[in-house]
Amino acid sequence: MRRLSVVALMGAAPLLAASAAGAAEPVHVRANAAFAACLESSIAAFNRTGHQAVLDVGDPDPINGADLVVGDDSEMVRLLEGGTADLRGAVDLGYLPWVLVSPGGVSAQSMPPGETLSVLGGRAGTEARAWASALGPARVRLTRDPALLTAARWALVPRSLAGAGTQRPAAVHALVATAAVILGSPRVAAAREVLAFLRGEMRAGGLLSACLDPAPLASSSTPNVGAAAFAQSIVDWWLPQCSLDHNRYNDPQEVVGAPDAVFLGTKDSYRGIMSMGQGGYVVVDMGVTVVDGNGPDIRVYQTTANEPVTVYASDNPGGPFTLIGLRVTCGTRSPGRVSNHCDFDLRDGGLAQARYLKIEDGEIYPCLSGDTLTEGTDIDAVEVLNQR
Amino acid sequence: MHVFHCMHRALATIARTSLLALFAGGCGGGGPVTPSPSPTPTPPQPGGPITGGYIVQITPGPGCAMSKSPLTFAVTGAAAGTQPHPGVQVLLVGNDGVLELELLSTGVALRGGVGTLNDFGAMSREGMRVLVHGIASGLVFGASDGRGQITSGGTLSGFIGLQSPGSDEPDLGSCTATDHGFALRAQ
Repeated sequence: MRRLSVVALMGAAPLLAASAAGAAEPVHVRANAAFAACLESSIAAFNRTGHQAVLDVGDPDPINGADLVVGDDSEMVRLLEGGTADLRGAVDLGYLPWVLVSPGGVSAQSMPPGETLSVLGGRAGTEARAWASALGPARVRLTRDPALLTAARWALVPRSLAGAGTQRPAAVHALVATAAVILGSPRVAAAREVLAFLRGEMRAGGLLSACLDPAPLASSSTPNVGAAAFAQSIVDWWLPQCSLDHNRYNDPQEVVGAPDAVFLGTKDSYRGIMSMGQGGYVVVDMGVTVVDGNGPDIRVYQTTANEPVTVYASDNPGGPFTLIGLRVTCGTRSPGRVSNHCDFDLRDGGLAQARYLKIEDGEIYPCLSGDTLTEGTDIDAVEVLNQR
Repeated sequence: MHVFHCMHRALATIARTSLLALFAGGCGGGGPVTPSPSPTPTPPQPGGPITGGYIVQITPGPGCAMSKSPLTFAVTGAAAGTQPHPGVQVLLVGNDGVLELELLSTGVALRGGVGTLNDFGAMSREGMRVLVHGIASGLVFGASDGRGQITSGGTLSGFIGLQSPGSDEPDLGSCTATDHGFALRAQ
């Protein structure tokens, strides 16, 4: 862990003391290297208002004494799902796109022999690492050290860690900077003040907004033909016995119908979802024929962060099922809904149509090591976007 | 046990073989028949329970830019649940929270999740730290002791990463594919 030199003004102590116990300690904000690079100026600005906060650079999970964490979905899922961080009060501060840095903007595939591509490591770098894996391990250096990343001639990094080379957009989903207060912190109230300040910075076009992008425009969920169609009935399902024993939300009927997930405010307290456990699945009858049309054809609503989903499709309830998308991160925000979503295109599986969809856990986390009642991908609903 | 195996084999073969020839095949029928040069190997029978000691073998897919050497783990398997479908749980020997397989069993096939703990992975018998998040599937055939096993044709669809000792990254390569090899061999 590297601690940035954001030091509180001494005169801030009385203000902090009024807001929380443990006032002698500043509020600890913990963020990965990419988000920390964005937050440093804002935390300094916060401290100039008479408060006291420090920025710790490291993966948000484990929290290591943090009062407020800022991380990408991939880093936050267990903190939020497990109740360590305040899910209800969590805020998406903004988006941080990935860039490929290279001399003259040359593609990574054209990287000369002897050169290596530096890639941000950790969970935040999962998708970038997958992108770079085709180069082979000898040509990729995974690191979380911001100094190494910004100094690299060839790098695949969030924009905040880009060095001097030419930048070009990378085909990796932007990181989502989600901020959440740690519920067991002795400085919860003070941490909420920091969070409110950061949120205000984004809204008012402050320092943070110069580093993070606003949320992209929501994609339309309006079906191209006819009325919205959601899963009509359950054809088959399976959860491992271990998941049935440990999870709370095992009813496949929760997948039927429109998205209706509700977070009830306390850890593991939901309504309207089915947790898929370790590798569980549900087969749904969409009641209509899904067709390969313009853009994505299927939308899956998934409730916590960006837990991955695998989708198969068939014309027959008993299969055989064709793979449409394997372990697709399912964290696109759905404005106005509790659940996030991810989209699938029948064309990716070479299918022109299908009626039955098999939705499978893509997280595949060991059941016995789970520490929540919602292990596995949490499915809220399945929607047809192109139908006949 | 031998008698039951022999009877089963006989019944399975009866439709295409004369009874006389069948009992000449070494099942104790005796009698004056044409000598047979040697017993033909019995093909493995489909199915069989997953129980006891096994070796899980995972082989990175042919398109992966990483070592494709097989990675093996000593595990134990046991039946786990019957509803809504029968299941099997397979755990790493000595450290059962680190590598866990939760598989649906149809009796003649297995399919389900293979998962390791994030960031830590599971140590293979070859000394590699391995991260896996995928769906394994394969046809089950009887081993010599009657237990079920997957010896060939099994696949793993998903992520495999290799991590050097002391690293917290899959620095030795990673790959997401639908054609990793998978086997579950009785020990």
